[in-house]
Amino acid sequence: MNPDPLQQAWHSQAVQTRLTIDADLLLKEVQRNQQTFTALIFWRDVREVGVSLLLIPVWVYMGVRMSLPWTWYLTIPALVWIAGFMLLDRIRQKRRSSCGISWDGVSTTRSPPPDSAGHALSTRHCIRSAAWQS
Amino acid sequence: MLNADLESVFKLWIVEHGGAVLKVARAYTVSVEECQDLVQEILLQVWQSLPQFQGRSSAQTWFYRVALNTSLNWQRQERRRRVRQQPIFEIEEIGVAAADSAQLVSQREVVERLYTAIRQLPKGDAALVLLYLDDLSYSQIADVLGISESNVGVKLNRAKKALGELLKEKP
Repeated sequence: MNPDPLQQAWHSQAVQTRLTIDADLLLKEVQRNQQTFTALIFWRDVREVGVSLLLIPVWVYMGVRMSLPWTWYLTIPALVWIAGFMLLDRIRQKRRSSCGISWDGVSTTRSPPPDSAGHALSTRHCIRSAAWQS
Repeated sequence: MLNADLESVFKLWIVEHGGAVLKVARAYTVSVEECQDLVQEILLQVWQSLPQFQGRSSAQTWFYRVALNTSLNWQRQERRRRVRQQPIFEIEEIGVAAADSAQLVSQREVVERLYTAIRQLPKGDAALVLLYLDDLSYSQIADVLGISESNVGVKLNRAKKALGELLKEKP
Protein backbone atom coordinates (compact mmCIF):
# COMPACT_ATOMS: atom_id res chain seq x y z
CA MET A 1 0.00 0.00 0.00
CA ASN A 2 1.37 3.44 -0.95
CA PRO A 3 1.69 5.75 2.03
CA ASP A 4 -0.60 8.75 1.93
CA PRO A 5 1.39 11.91 0.90
CA LEU A 6 -0.30 13.76 3.74
CA GLN A 7 0.99 11.16 6.18
CA GLN A 8 4.48 11.48 4.70
CA ALA A 9 4.42 15.25 5.16
CA TRP A 10 3.05 14.78 8.66
CA HIS A 11 5.92 12.53 9.64
CA SER A 12 8.45 15.05 8.36
CA GLN A 13 7.66 17.17 11.44
CA ALA A 14 9.70 14.80 13.55
CA VAL A 15 12.73 15.45 11.37
CA GLN A 16 12.36 19.23 11.57
CA THR A 17 11.61 19.80 15.22
CA ARG A 18 12.91 18.53 18.52
CA LEU A 19 10.96 18.75 21.73
CA THR A 20 13.04 19.01 24.89
CA ILE A 21 11.18 18.61 28.15
CA ASP A 22 12.57 19.51 31.54
CA ALA A 23 11.14 16.55 33.44
CA ASP A 24 12.46 17.74 36.80
CA LEU A 25 10.78 21.10 36.44
CA LEU A 26 7.61 19.35 35.35
CA LEU A 27 7.61 17.23 38.49
CA LYS A 28 8.06 20.37 40.59
CA GLU A 29 5.11 21.98 38.81
CA VAL A 30 2.96 18.94 39.53
CA GLN A 31 3.86 19.21 43.21
CA ARG A 32 3.04 22.90 43.23
CA ASN A 33 -0.28 22.28 41.47
CA GLN A 34 -1.28 19.62 43.93
CA GLN A 35 -0.30 21.70 46.93
CA THR A 36 -2.43 24.54 45.56
CA PHE A 37 -5.32 22.12 45.03
CA THR A 38 -5.00 20.70 48.56
CA ALA A 39 -4.95 24.22 50.04
CA LEU A 40 -7.97 25.18 47.94
CA ILE A 41 -10.00 22.22 49.20
CA PHE A 42 -8.88 22.78 52.79
CA TRP A 43 -9.95 26.44 52.90
CA ARG A 44 -13.20 25.65 51.16
CA ASP A 45 -13.95 23.08 53.86
CA VAL A 46 -12.99 25.53 56.61
CA ARG A 47 -15.42 28.09 55.20
CA GLU A 48 -18.25 25.61 54.83
CA VAL A 49 -17.85 23.97 58.23
CA GLY A 50 -17.39 27.38 59.87
CA VAL A 51 -20.51 28.85 58.33
CA SER A 52 -22.56 25.74 59.21
CA LEU A 53 -21.48 25.85 62.85
CA LEU A 54 -22.06 29.58 63.00
CA LEU A 55 -25.57 29.24 61.66
CA ILE A 56 -26.71 26.72 64.32
CA PRO A 57 -26.96 29.24 67.21
CA VAL A 58 -28.42 31.82 64.82
CA TRP A 59 -31.14 29.35 63.87
CA VAL A 60 -31.90 28.54 67.53
CA TYR A 61 -31.90 32.22 68.50
CA MET A 62 -34.22 33.23 65.69
CA GLY A 63 -36.53 30.27 66.36
CA VAL A 64 -36.90 31.22 70.01
CA ARG A 65 -37.14 34.98 69.50
CA MET A 66 -39.61 34.90 66.66
CA SER A 67 -41.60 31.88 67.83
CA LEU A 68 -41.05 30.14 64.53
CA PRO A 69 -42.65 26.73 63.81
CA TRP A 70 -40.92 23.48 64.82
CA THR A 71 -39.98 22.79 61.16
CA TRP A 72 -37.59 25.73 61.44
CA TYR A 73 -35.38 23.54 63.66
CA LEU A 74 -35.03 20.85 60.95
CA THR A 75 -32.28 22.98 59.51
CA ILE A 76 -30.16 22.42 62.61
CA PRO A 77 -29.59 18.68 62.02
CA ALA A 78 -28.88 19.55 58.38
CA LEU A 79 -26.20 22.03 59.42
CA VAL A 80 -24.77 19.56 61.92
CA TRP A 81 -24.72 16.96 59.17
CA ILE A 82 -22.77 19.25 56.81
CA ALA A 83 -20.14 20.13 59.40
CA GLY A 84 -19.97 16.59 60.79
CA PHE A 85 -19.76 14.92 57.43
CA MET A 86 -16.99 17.16 56.23
CA LEU A 87 -14.95 16.78 59.40
CA LEU A 88 -15.40 13.00 59.54
CA ASP A 89 -14.61 12.66 55.86
CA ARG A 90 -11.40 14.62 56.36
CA ILE A 91 -10.39 12.35 59.22
CA ARG A 92 -11.20 9.29 57.09
CA GLN A 93 -9.15 10.66 54.17
CA LYS A 94 -6.21 11.39 56.46
CA ARG A 95 -6.26 7.86 57.88
CA ARG A 96 -6.48 6.33 54.43
CA SER A 97 -3.64 8.45 53.07
CA SER A 98 -1.42 7.59 56.05
CA CYS A 99 -1.97 3.88 55.26
CA GLY A 100 -1.37 4.18 51.55
CA ILE A 101 -0.37 6.95 49.21
CA SER A 102 0.01 10.29 50.86
CA TRP A 103 -1.08 13.21 48.77
CA ASP A 104 0.76 15.85 50.63
CA GLY A 105 4.39 16.18 51.49
CA VAL A 106 6.70 13.70 49.80
CA SER A 107 4.22 11.93 47.59
CA THR A 108 2.56 14.96 46.11
CA THR A 109 3.91 13.93 42.75
CA ARG A 110 1.12 11.39 42.62
CA SER A 111 -2.41 12.27 41.67
CA PRO A 112 -4.85 13.21 44.41
CA PRO A 113 -6.83 10.23 45.68
CA PRO A 114 -9.87 9.46 43.54
CA ASP A 115 -11.99 10.12 46.60
CA SER A 116 -11.19 13.83 46.55
CA ALA A 117 -13.52 14.37 43.62
CA GLY A 118 -16.20 12.30 45.32
CA HIS A 119 -15.63 14.25 48.49
CA ALA A 120 -16.20 17.53 46.67
CA LEU A 121 -19.32 16.16 45.00
CA SER A 122 -20.83 14.75 48.17
CA THR A 123 -20.10 18.02 49.95
CA ARG A 124 -21.86 19.94 47.23
CA HIS A 125 -24.78 17.52 47.47
CA CYS A 126 -25.03 18.11 51.23
CA ILE A 127 -25.08 21.85 50.81
CA ARG A 128 -27.77 21.59 48.18
CA SER A 129 -29.94 19.37 50.34
CA ALA A 130 -29.46 21.68 53.31
CA ALA A 131 -30.50 24.67 51.23
CA TRP A 132 -33.51 22.74 50.04
CA GLN A 133 -34.48 21.74 53.58
CA SER A 134 -34.15 25.26 54.92
CA MET B 1 5.34 1.46 40.98
CA LEU B 2 7.73 3.45 43.12
CA ASN B 3 8.16 7.15 42.59
CA ALA B 4 11.65 6.63 41.18
CA ASP B 5 10.32 4.03 38.71
CA LEU B 6 7.51 6.36 37.72
CA GLU B 7 10.00 9.12 37.10
CA SER B 8 12.22 7.01 34.88
CA VAL B 9 9.23 5.62 32.94
CA PHE B 10 7.87 9.11 32.57
CA LYS B 11 11.17 10.50 31.28
CA LEU B 12 11.56 7.63 28.82
CA TRP B 13 8.02 7.97 27.49
CA ILE B 14 8.38 11.71 27.14
CA VAL B 15 11.34 11.14 24.86
CA GLU B 16 9.44 8.52 22.85
CA HIS B 17 6.02 10.14 22.66
CA GLY B 18 6.65 13.84 23.33
CA GLY B 19 6.24 14.55 19.63
CA ALA B 20 2.69 13.22 19.69
CA VAL B 21 1.84 15.59 22.53
CA LEU B 22 3.10 18.52 20.52
CA LYS B 23 1.11 17.50 17.43
CA VAL B 24 -2.11 17.10 19.41
CA ALA B 25 -1.59 20.46 21.15
CA ARG B 26 -0.90 22.24 17.87
CA ALA B 27 -4.04 20.78 16.35
CA TYR B 28 -6.27 22.07 19.14
CA THR B 29 -4.82 25.53 19.60
CA VAL B 30 -4.30 28.55 17.41
CA SER B 31 -1.51 30.58 18.96
CA VAL B 32 1.95 29.48 20.08
CA GLU B 33 1.18 30.58 23.66
CA GLU B 34 -1.96 28.48 23.81
CA CYS B 35 -0.08 25.55 22.34
CA GLN B 36 2.56 25.82 25.05
CA ASP B 37 -0.10 26.00 27.74
CA LEU B 38 -1.84 22.94 26.38
CA VAL B 39 1.41 20.95 26.09
CA GLN B 40 2.15 21.75 29.73
CA GLU B 41 -1.36 20.73 30.74
CA ILE B 42 -1.06 17.45 28.83
CA LEU B 43 2.32 16.68 30.39
CA LEU B 44 0.91 17.36 33.85
CA GLN B 45 -2.02 15.07 33.14
CA VAL B 46 0.31 12.37 31.81
CA TRP B 47 2.33 12.47 35.01
CA GLN B 48 -0.77 12.49 37.20
CA SER B 49 -2.34 9.59 35.29
CA LEU B 50 0.81 7.50 35.13
CA PRO B 51 0.19 5.61 38.42
CA GLN B 52 -3.14 4.46 36.99
CA PHE B 53 -1.59 3.03 33.82
CA GLN B 54 -2.25 -0.70 33.94
CA GLY B 55 -0.47 -1.76 30.78
CA ARG B 56 -3.68 -2.93 29.08
CA SER B 57 -2.89 -0.76 26.07
CA SER B 58 0.42 0.29 24.56
CA ALA B 59 2.20 3.36 25.87
CA GLN B 60 1.59 5.07 22.54
CA THR B 61 -2.19 4.65 22.60
CA TRP B 62 -2.33 5.55 26.28
CA PHE B 63 -0.33 8.73 25.61
CA TYR B 64 -2.68 9.69 22.81
CA ARG B 65 -5.72 9.03 24.96
CA VAL B 66 -4.46 11.29 27.73
CA ALA B 67 -3.39 13.98 25.26
CA LEU B 68 -6.68 13.95 23.36
CA ASN B 69 -8.86 13.84 26.48
CA THR B 70 -6.96 16.76 27.94
CA SER B 71 -7.19 18.73 24.71
CA LEU B 72 -10.90 18.09 24.32
CA ASN B 73 -11.58 19.28 27.87
CA TRP B 74 -9.04 22.07 27.87
CA GLN B 75 -10.42 25.55 27.94
CA ARG B 76 -8.56 28.62 26.99
CA GLN B 77 -9.43 30.32 30.28
CA GLU B 78 -7.32 27.69 32.06
CA ARG B 79 -4.20 29.42 30.93
CA ARG B 80 -4.77 32.05 33.61
CA ARG B 81 -3.80 29.38 36.10
CA ARG B 82 -0.47 28.93 34.41
CA VAL B 83 0.70 32.52 34.31
CA ARG B 84 3.26 31.99 37.06
CA GLN B 85 4.44 28.70 35.67
CA GLN B 86 7.89 28.39 34.14
CA PRO B 87 8.09 26.85 30.66
CA ILE B 88 8.87 23.17 31.06
CA PHE B 89 9.71 22.40 27.47
CA GLU B 90 11.49 23.82 24.48
CA ILE B 91 10.87 23.35 20.79
CA GLU B 92 13.95 23.38 18.62
CA GLU B 93 13.96 23.77 14.87
CA ILE B 94 16.57 21.41 13.47
CA GLY B 95 18.66 22.56 10.51
CA VAL B 96 18.52 20.31 7.44
CA ALA B 97 20.89 19.72 4.54
CA ALA B 98 20.34 22.00 1.53
CA ALA B 99 19.47 19.08 -0.74
CA ASP B 100 16.64 18.01 1.55
CA SER B 101 15.53 21.49 2.47
CA ALA B 102 13.42 22.16 -0.64
CA GLN B 103 11.41 19.03 -0.03
CA LEU B 104 11.16 19.74 3.67
CA VAL B 105 9.99 23.29 3.03
CA SER B 106 7.19 22.04 0.82
CA GLN B 107 6.31 19.40 3.41
CA ARG B 108 6.27 22.06 6.08
CA GLU B 109 3.78 24.03 4.03
CA VAL B 110 1.61 20.95 3.68
CA VAL B 111 1.81 20.40 7.44
CA GLU B 112 0.81 24.01 8.14
CA ARG B 113 -2.16 23.66 5.81
CA LEU B 114 -3.07 20.41 7.51
CA TYR B 115 -3.05 22.03 10.93
CA THR B 116 -5.20 24.90 9.66
CA ALA B 117 -7.68 22.43 8.20
CA ILE B 118 -7.69 20.16 11.26
CA ARG B 119 -8.51 23.13 13.51
CA GLN B 120 -11.63 23.72 11.46
CA LEU B 121 -12.88 20.16 11.85
CA PRO B 122 -15.19 19.16 14.70
CA LYS B 123 -13.06 18.13 17.70
CA GLY B 124 -13.88 14.43 17.38
CA ASP B 125 -13.02 14.35 13.68
CA ALA B 126 -9.82 16.25 14.39
CA ALA B 127 -8.79 13.50 16.83
CA LEU B 128 -9.47 10.82 14.22
CA VAL B 129 -7.49 12.63 11.55
CA LEU B 130 -4.57 13.18 13.91
CA LEU B 131 -4.38 9.51 14.74
CA TYR B 132 -4.70 8.56 11.09
CA LEU B 133 -1.93 10.94 10.06
CA ASP B 134 0.30 9.47 12.74
CA ASP B 135 -0.19 6.10 11.10
CA LEU B 136 -2.11 4.36 13.86
CA SER B 137 -4.02 1.26 12.83
CA TYR B 138 -7.81 1.07 13.03
CA SER B 139 -7.59 -1.06 16.15
CA GLN B 140 -5.23 1.42 17.80
CA ILE B 141 -7.51 4.33 16.88
CA ALA B 142 -10.47 2.40 18.26
CA ASP B 143 -8.51 1.79 21.45
CA VAL B 144 -7.60 5.46 21.86
CA LEU B 145 -11.07 6.82 21.16
CA GLY B 146 -13.05 4.01 22.78
CA ILE B 147 -15.13 3.22 19.70
CA SER B 148 -15.42 0.10 17.54
CA GLU B 149 -13.11 -0.50 14.57
CA SER B 150 -16.00 -0.40 12.10
CA ASN B 151 -17.06 2.91 13.58
CA VAL B 152 -13.51 4.18 13.12
CA GLY B 153 -13.69 3.25 9.41
CA VAL B 154 -16.96 5.07 8.86
CA LYS B 155 -16.04 8.15 10.85
CA LEU B 156 -12.54 8.35 9.43
CA ASN B 157 -13.81 8.28 5.86
CA ARG B 158 -16.14 11.11 6.64
CA ALA B 159 -13.42 13.09 8.42
CA LYS B 160 -10.95 12.55 5.58
CA LYS B 161 -13.51 13.78 3.10
CA ALA B 162 -14.11 16.91 5.18
CA LEU B 163 -10.36 17.41 5.52
CA GLY B 164 -9.91 17.07 1.75
CA GLU B 165 -12.57 19.71 1.17
CA LEU B 166 -10.89 22.08 3.61
CA LEU B 167 -7.50 21.54 1.99
CA LYS B 168 -8.96 22.28 -1.42
CA GLU B 169 -10.48 25.50 -0.15
CA LYS B 170 -7.15 26.85 1.07
CA PRO B 171 -4.36 26.14 -1.39
